Amino acid sequence: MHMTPRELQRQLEAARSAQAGSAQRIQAHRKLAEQCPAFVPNLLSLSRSLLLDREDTDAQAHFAEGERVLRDAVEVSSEDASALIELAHFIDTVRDSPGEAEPLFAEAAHRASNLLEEAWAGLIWVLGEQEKLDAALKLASRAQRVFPDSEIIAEAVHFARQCAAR
Amino acid sequence: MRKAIAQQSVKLGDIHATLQHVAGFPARLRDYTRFQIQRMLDQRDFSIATKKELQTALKLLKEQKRLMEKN
Repeated sequence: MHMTPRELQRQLEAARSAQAGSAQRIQAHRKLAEQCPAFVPNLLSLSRSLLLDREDTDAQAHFAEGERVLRDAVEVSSEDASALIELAHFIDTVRDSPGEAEPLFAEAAHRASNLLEEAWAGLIWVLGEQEKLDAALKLASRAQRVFPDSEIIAEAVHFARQCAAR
Repeated sequence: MRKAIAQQSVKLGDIHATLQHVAGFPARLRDYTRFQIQRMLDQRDFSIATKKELQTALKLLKEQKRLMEKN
């Protein structure tokens, strides 16, 4: 029986209420990861908690677990930017390997950039639909500086102008 | 402002125990603050630690802050 999204969220919040890096917190995230191995926000929290362990326990085992959890998070999220960024930080700081972290950050930046372009285009479009032309054009000028060749932003700006035309 | 000053006075040896076991941990900088480490790098003063050790120390202090904020 799968947990409902609300139940997952409730358990994650319950885990996060324990002190950062405490054994109780790590256990709560581990338990949730066993129940739902594809719940990425929990996997990211688990990896951070493992690094923040205040006890001087087996650090190398924590690192191995943290890396495995982060690679799972990247895989099950189909290389989501936030999972890639978390793995990249881990590889850079824990493994002291900036060369290996570089393509991970680069891929995260590429994905986040695509998301930002899509989000801005959508925002300009709905501002236009509501005839909020000033807000749409203000955002458009910023968006077109960052993405000068974006077709979806140009299309949204054109639409917003059409909506405002009487 | 107070938070920024507090961040500058964190010593490398104050970061969480697990993080002190990472590859290349510059143990000789344990008693130095972020401010002191940053200043050594800025002034290219490599008398206490190498450039790489100073960079790693700064990276770990930054990572500790990020992990605490994100958690």
